[in-house]
Amino acid sequence: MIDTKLKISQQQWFFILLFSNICVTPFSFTPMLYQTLESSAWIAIVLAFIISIWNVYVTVYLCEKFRDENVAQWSKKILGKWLGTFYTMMVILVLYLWGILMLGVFLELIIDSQLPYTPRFLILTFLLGAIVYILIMGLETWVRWGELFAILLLLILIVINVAQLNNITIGNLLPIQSHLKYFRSAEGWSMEVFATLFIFRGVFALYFIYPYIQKRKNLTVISLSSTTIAFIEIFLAIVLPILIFGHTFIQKIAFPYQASLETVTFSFLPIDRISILTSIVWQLIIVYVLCVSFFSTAEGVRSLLKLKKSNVTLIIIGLITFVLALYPFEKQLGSLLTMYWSFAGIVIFTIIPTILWVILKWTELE
Amino acid sequence: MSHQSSTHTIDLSKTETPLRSDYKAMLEQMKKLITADDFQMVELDETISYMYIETIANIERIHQEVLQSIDSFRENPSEWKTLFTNGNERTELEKVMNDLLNGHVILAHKKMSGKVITFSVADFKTRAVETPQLEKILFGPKDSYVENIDTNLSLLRRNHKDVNLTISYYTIGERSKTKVAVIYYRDITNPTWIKKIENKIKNIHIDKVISHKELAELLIGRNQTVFPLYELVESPSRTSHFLYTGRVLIFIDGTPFGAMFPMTLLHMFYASEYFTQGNAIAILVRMLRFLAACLALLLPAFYVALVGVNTGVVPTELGALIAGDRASIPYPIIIEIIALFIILDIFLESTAYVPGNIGAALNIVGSLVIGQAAAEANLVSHMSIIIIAITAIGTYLTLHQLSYALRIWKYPIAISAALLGFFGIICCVVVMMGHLCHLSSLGVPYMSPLAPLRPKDLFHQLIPIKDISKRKERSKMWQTQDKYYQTDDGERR
Repeated sequence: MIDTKLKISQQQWFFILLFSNICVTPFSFTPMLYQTLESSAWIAIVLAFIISIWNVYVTVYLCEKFRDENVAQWSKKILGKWLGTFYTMMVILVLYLWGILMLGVFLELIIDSQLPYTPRFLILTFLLGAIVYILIMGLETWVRWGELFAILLLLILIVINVAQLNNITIGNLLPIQSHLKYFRSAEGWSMEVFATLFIFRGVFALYFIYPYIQKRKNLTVISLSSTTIAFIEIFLAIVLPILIFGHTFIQKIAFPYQASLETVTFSFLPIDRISILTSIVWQLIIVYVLCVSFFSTAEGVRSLLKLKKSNVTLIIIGLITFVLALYPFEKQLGSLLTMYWSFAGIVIFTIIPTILWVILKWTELE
Repeated sequence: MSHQSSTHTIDLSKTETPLRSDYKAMLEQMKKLITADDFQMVELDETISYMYIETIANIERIHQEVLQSIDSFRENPSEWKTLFTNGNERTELEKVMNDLLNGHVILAHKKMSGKVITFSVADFKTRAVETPQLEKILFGPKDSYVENIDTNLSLLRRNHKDVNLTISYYTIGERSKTKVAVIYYRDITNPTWIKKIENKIKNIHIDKVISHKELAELLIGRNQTVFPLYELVESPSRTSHFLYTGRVLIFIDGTPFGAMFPMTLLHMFYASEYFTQGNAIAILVRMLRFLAACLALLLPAFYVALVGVNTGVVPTELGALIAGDRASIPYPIIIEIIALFIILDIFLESTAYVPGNIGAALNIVGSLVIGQAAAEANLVSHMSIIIIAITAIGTYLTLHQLSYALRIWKYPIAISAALLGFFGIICCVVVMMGHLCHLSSLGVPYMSPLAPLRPKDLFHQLIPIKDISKRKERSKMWQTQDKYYQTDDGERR
């Protein structure tokens, strides 16, 4: 089932993981966190990072136990045929929903910031067309594509974050000890905040990508380094708007990180605002996320249905996504879906893998 | 002379037909096969005759080398080795015909039953070695390849006096019988490439191969891209640089270019000055070429996006300037740019292919019409003309082979920009880069060393080391056998 000729390097995995972990999180979860935790929102991100370290360890451990198989194959070995198939279907569903929800957030951002009068179907046709095209070209092609843009993206991310430092007021975050007050009470541990603790989702693509990675010697270290860089970016995306606007003002802004970027101007360039640069960054990042999401879904479907190729599956996934994304969710429904998806993710990618890890460790001991 | 012959195909390669043992029958056998009026068969007397194709044989040499020794040959045909030192004895019809069509003279003697002597007096008409037409060189050698494969090999040999240089001849094309040379260093070049090329060549059974395009398609598969998958080279010195890195060169007789395999995108930004000037200049030239390609591809689209869709990000002064310039233009920016693209492309094609001085005349008429008259008539804005002029310059600053790819891709990118601004540009670039990442030449990814990322190779390609004595290793990208350019003790590893 696994095409052994296809190979990707650990370096390529590093970049895929990095950008699929960054995702569009600076826009999707941050407004919600500001509403609940105000200027203490950054603590939730630190906690999320700590939890992600465990997730990385367990995911890599499980994949290493079944080196040439994806989750559809190894889950049947541990859980049995029916339960394994059900678990795989859940994994596929959650990873696919991840792509859809992030696409929704990105569309709102791009329509709000760049294309307010452009028909939604046109934006979707171009974006999904491009993604399905590079996915059909094959795994090696889209991971190379990811590698090609990775350095550029990293440089732009550094530039856009450093450029904002000129406008910050450190006092907006002081005193530090006051931030813990939300977490001491039940009020701080709202469902939304709890859902945020599992935002680093990219590593779960390993369930489908692992068999294709060659030389997996330092995979845990590489995955952790990549997650750490993603954490730094998301941390800055949370902290910089607080430092620039203060916690009372950011609660009124739809996309605080984008707004903080608007404060940087380059009057000597033909482009006045740096925010146009960031729209490009998020557009490229959403391509990474959707590539990972669609690839995982297609690989899962291919394994479950024992198909030889996944090109038709990819086109069908593209069409379904087009239809689903054509009609924007109501804001409340979107938030609800995001939350349920987060909780499903916690069960599918953290709790069940942890149980499997315990079972395998137990078997090893015996 | 009219030739009465059957119309069915004669394929001697399948038959291994021997020459007839009877002298007269043998001459008839050959006469029947060739139905060309430039074929000459001279029967000197009852015992001896010679044949050649007058358009490809040197008649003077025939007089000097054949006729002067003909009396001795008549007396002692068995002594032919001393009379015609370059001669070969042939007994098979296929080999005789092959020699004849390659400019050999065929000598037949009544006493040599079923055998003939052949030796080369070939004189294929060719140009003299001239300066390169496409690879302009300021401070390097000025010679360039011609249509004769032997001349090309001779030019190449000047820089290669190593026994490890391998030159393998092949005859490709069932009818064209084109001579093809595959050249590489047997101790440097990746052996899997050679195997791949040799296997493919052995399985070619096509009528004709007379251009690199045909051969390349047969070697590397269907050509479904506008980006070149092999590099056409016309300067022997530039070729030599590439051969030493472990790449493979293919010459086809009758083509004034060599084809370099494999090919990557970054190689298209190597100017010839890269090999002759100091490193700082080489880097500058390379960066300029890269910038020019980016401008040619993206500048019109950026302009369309800024003027047509993402107007909010244009600084006020610049916005006012553009608005003033476009105030009297009666149609949208994309129509203006696409119209100018089409005019530019017609213009470029016409100046490139029209004969002699007409090209220069067209140049003047075109630039006057587009540059001044159109702007004065308010048909196009001044800013658009500037953008198109930069695009035209940028298109041709890179390797000539890349120019068509840039010219074609600028259309969808500009249209995407008109529809969706910067978002559309990025979508189009994503597709283009995806396409480029999918390409490979002889198994080497087209975007390497960028993707897959090889930082060391990339660094060496973009910024050569200051001191050449410190550059020890060859690029890992080509997976060479001999990994080192130079060693400390002079010993090969």
